[in-house]
Amino acid sequence: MRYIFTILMILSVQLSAAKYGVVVTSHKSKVESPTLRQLKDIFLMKRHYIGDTKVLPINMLLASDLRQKFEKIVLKINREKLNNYWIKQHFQGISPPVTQASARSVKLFIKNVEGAIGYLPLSLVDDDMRVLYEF
Amino acid sequence: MKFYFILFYIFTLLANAGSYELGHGVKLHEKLRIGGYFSTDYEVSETRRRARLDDVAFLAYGNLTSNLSYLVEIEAAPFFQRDFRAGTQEYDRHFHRERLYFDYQYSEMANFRVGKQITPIGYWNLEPINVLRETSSNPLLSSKMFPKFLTGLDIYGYIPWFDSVTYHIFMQNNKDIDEDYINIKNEHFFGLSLENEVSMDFQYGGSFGEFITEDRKRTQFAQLNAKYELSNNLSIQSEVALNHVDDHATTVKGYKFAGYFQSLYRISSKHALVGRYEYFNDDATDISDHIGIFGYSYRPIYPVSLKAEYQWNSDEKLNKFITSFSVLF
Repeated sequence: MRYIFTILMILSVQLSAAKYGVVVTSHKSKVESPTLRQLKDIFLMKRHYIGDTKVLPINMLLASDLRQKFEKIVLKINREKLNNYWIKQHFQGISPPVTQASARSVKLFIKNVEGAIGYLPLSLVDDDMRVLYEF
Repeated sequence: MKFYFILFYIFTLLANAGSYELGHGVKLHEKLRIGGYFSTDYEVSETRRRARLDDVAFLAYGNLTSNLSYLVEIEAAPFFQRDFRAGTQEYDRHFHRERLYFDYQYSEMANFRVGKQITPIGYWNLEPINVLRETSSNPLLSSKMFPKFLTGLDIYGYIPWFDSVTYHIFMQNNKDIDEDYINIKNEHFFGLSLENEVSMDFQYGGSFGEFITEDRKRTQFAQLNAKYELSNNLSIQSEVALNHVDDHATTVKGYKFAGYFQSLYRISSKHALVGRYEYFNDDATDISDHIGIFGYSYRPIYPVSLKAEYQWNSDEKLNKFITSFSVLF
């Protein structure tokens, strides 16, 4: 009984620590360690620079599971509220971040476009990328 | 020319109808997204029974380079109105330049907006159109205390070491681009505004500055604003402004005050109840007014708004019922 309880405890700790993905940029980027607040502002198109470095957020498609997790954990905003936010921004002349169809195309975009910041599953991160935040 | 522009607009919207989502505009190119809005309202009071097609507006915006963007907005208001009590009707199909500006993004701390733009003060002024509000009417603060628009320069950005605080330093030393289309005609206007976005749910800020009106009245203003989402259903918002007016022609000096407190209760994502209390006082005209508003807002989808409200005024003759329908496209 004690043995089963210990296994369950270990499993639950591992599950609670499980990460869904990471926010990344190219290792060439000057962006080192933005705050969660800065990341949130970047993906809401409120902030276009970190210091003097121009940044360009990349979203995955609306239906992506990782995007839903990112919105919930990093942006801390539900879909309906986020959609209303973008409608208000349309009046201000601000459009949502560009999207890429798959995690692999997000990765390619980040490698090829200066200042690009996106989120990927942990499994796709390699040495060419700098992890900015885990979620 | 404007007629052909609008015609082009409508055809473009129809041509893109397949991928179009209401409230988000149509992206024609990286450098061009178009959209617009309109609102209609019906007002009944002791003095009038009026129907209006109030705002008809079109906007276009986009990024010209990675740092440079623009926005153009033209608007006709009121496009058409008929007073059934007086038996009169009016048309104004002249489209005015409501906004016309370029944004240059330079760094986290300093960005530049040049041209005719919404004055970066408070909350109501920044979301002035019917469809984005929860009441058909506007508080007096939004029209009586400072020019709604600025034709000049706004320098804005984040304040270093304060992650959540943004600033705007704005200035104008000329006439408005479209003088017929501004609440307070002026040739000199400057100010500073600060906003602390503590979270998506709680923000507060304030501003101060000065403007000189066309009739040479110098006004210094100070303003405070705050909004708070207490829960998913309940939010509150308030703004107050104080003006010191110095009339050079008559050497008369005086104060003007306006403020409102509004609470919104969301019954569901589509239905909401709203209440607002306003106070306005002007020494120069000896006008003092208390206004109470109770209203209902229905949004079948967010960019479509149907609203109804009753307004109680300290001068009972001004009591009114207003209902409106507005769409952002």
